[in-house]
Amino acid sequence: MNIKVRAGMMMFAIVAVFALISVRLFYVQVIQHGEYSRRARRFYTVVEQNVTPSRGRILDRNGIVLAENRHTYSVGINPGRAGVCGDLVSALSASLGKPRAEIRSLLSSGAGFRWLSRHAEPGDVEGLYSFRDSGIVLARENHRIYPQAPLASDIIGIVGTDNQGLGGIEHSFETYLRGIPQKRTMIRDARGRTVYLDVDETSPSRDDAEVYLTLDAGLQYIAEREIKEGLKRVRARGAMVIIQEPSSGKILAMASYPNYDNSFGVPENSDLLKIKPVTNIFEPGSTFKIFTAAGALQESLVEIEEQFDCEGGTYTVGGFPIRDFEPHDFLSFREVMLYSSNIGMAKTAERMGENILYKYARNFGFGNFTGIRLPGEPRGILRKPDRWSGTSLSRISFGQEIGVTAVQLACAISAVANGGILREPQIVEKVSVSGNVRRYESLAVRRVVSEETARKINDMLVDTVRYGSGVSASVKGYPVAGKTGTAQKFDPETFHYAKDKYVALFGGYFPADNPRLTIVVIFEEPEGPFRWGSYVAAPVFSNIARAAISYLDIAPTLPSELASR
Amino acid sequence: MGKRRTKKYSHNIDIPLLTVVAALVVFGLVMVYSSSAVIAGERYHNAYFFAFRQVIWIMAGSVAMIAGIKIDYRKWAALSRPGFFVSIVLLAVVLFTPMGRSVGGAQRWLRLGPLGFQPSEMAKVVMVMYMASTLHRKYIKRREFNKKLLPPLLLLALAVFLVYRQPDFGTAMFMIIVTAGVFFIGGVKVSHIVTAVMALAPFLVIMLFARPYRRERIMTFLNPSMDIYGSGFQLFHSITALGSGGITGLGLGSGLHKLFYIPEVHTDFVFAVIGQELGFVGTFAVAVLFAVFAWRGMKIAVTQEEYLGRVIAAGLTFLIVAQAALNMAVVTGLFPTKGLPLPFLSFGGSSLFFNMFAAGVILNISASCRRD
Repeated sequence: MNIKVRAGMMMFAIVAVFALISVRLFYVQVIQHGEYSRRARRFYTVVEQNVTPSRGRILDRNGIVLAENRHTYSVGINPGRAGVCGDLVSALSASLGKPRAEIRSLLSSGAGFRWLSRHAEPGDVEGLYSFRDSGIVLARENHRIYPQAPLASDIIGIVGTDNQGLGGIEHSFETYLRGIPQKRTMIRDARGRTVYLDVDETSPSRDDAEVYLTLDAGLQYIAEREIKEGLKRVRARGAMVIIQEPSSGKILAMASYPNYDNSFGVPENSDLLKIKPVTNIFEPGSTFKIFTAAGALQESLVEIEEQFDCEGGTYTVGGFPIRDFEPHDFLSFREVMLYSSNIGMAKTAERMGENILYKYARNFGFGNFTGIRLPGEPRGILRKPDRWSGTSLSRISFGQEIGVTAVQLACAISAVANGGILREPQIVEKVSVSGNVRRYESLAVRRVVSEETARKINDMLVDTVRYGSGVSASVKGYPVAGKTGTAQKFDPETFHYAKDKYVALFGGYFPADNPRLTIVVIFEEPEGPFRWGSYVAAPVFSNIARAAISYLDIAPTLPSELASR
Repeated sequence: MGKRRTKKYSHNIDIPLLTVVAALVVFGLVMVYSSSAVIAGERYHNAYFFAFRQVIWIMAGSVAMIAGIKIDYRKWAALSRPGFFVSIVLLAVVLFTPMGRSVGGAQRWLRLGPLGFQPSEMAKVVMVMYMASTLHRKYIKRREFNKKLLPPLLLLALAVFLVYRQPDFGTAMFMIIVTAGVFFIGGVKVSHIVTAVMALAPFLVIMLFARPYRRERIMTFLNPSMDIYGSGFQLFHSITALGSGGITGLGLGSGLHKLFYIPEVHTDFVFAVIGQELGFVGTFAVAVLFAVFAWRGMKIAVTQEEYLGRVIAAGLTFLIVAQAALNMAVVTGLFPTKGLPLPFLSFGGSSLFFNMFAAGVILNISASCRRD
């Protein structure tokens, strides 16, 4: 065999081997590419989804922060992985405020993982950032804080241990506030360390939501303060105040007692999480006469100056006596309202009949959801006429046998203030998420009565405050329209009205000629000798109105009173 | 004077072969940087740590290659006997004296200041030239085994044994294969080669199963998915890296398997990184370059009139190309894992230096070929 043959054989062998390798390469790299690609991705990508986003903030209409977040860090260490290194010793010593010797002995111990510090301030752990790959663990913790607490705690709500909204706005706007967790695809190396991040563009994170409420922190403060002041004068089991802008339906303040402090964590009594002005049902008492009267006037069933026989204070309907607080023989319709005559209002209702009274009650928004964007709203209690008893018509006319919420009552009074148009209540002004702003508008639900009827009612309500039962609600320099109410509490256990349990109310608005604010004041189960709305609730209305006038700088509208302001 | 000599050689040396070597070396530097930057940054806080050393070794290797080109190969052949003695001494020094440095459980490096030196790399190249000149002097005239051949074969056995004891079973085996290749191309009767290999066979089997990890590697080779975190780790990940590269790869520098998934990826597994970053296009190009290397080397060999030139040219070509083929076969899972670098491409100074020298010698031989 000569060299050429042998070299040729060798060359053939070499080429054959390279051909075999190339075929193998083609098979692995081209034919099996998909499978190996998936396998490779499995190896060095981790999708991390549990990066909890910061909850969105809650602010009042003027941008005052009502809920935000504070971040703290827990510092942990894996001494075996960290090793003893001068820089790390200094950084740990500085951030934990422990002597270097102690740190050094910990690092050299070679012990397993342990936490060194909980809830450290961000500024304190700054120096440890660069050691995160060498045995130092920094775990961020979100804390919800309520800078204005306990202001409006029930409305703002609170979050649970998993940062989920448990009440109020925190609950009803959970989808915005919780945000979307950042889904990060990370490339990691064989030692399990993250090499770089790949933010998954198909699911952008979101943690910058801002919910602006229609609440005005200043008015809210006034409302809460005046509830407390009122309770000093008359003790009560509970109290509620709503301040609403009638022209827009916006709720500017919504206060209640008792309340909890959301900065102290979730209250043991979960009933406190309820927003009572939204969830609690009570009988509106005489305040409901506003709506009976409006219906009757709208249907031209009564005249303002028409005389009503008030039967000397006692009138029996269906075997049950109706009594007036102040007995009268004859009163004009205007005076029926002014002196809050139950008998006069019952006779008005007799003219209206069940269906018309029911229609106006419904049209003013009772017995139905107002649509406020807060959790737990009931419809209230308003039975259909076919289920009314013989006494229902007269009793409903002055606010018994009907259950309303404070929000329903405020909206209905605002409808009168607003010239007869009922609007939805509004609690959220706008939600801003990553630069996108969603504005909420309060819808006009319907025209309930004509402007003329509304004006007639308005005049009657002004007289009621000026000369009648609501006189303690008056405010110097401003015409106030309003109506008192005192309802006996219905005891669901005995199925009778409780003898000594009342609800004292005042609902009204001002200035009557150009209404700026509707205010509803409700005291539940007031104690003491005087439990009427005129004594318990009306002065609180007046105090809130005066404070609001100065806070909002509302100009007086009664010319003759200008000088005395 | 110097000008004329340069002219003479540069006109006659095989330009395609020189081009292939230059292309492999430059490409190797790029891939060494790409595959080692992360590891170097992590370990030495200097991403260029390995790339910089590779540059130094390329410069040293170029000097060796130029020396190989300029100095007549017959003089190198004459130096191969003392050279082989030196190699054996160095192998012994590495193994038995504190100057030897242990890396990853194997005693392969000789400490020379900051640089490491692998005597086994020197031994491989010198061995080819030594065997070629031995055949030239003692065998080829009569074409039969005689006593004169015994001392060189014993020396070879000693060298193989020392390498085996490092332990570097792969290189030891490879030295036997290369020697067989040199004998084959040198015209030794096939029956003599077969006899020699048969005589070695029992020892090979004993060596093969002397260490449990070798048996394991064989078993892993037969069933790669058996143990992806144990001995199949490198193989599993090298194939995953290759496969994920696809046709055109993830892009130079974008490979991810170099992130510590394959230990020492810039040395023996640089081919896997090429496969991931440049895809089938890249790996096939490397295979083609080595095939061209083989073609030019063999062509140079067969066009030699002198026996010595023929055998050295073919032997060195076989040494380099066989090592490349073996490395690629290991990385693609066609052959059990062996620690053999990919010539010119892998990081590693000794390998680069002696392979470039060997290429220089082949090019020197090419300058004295027949003109047909």
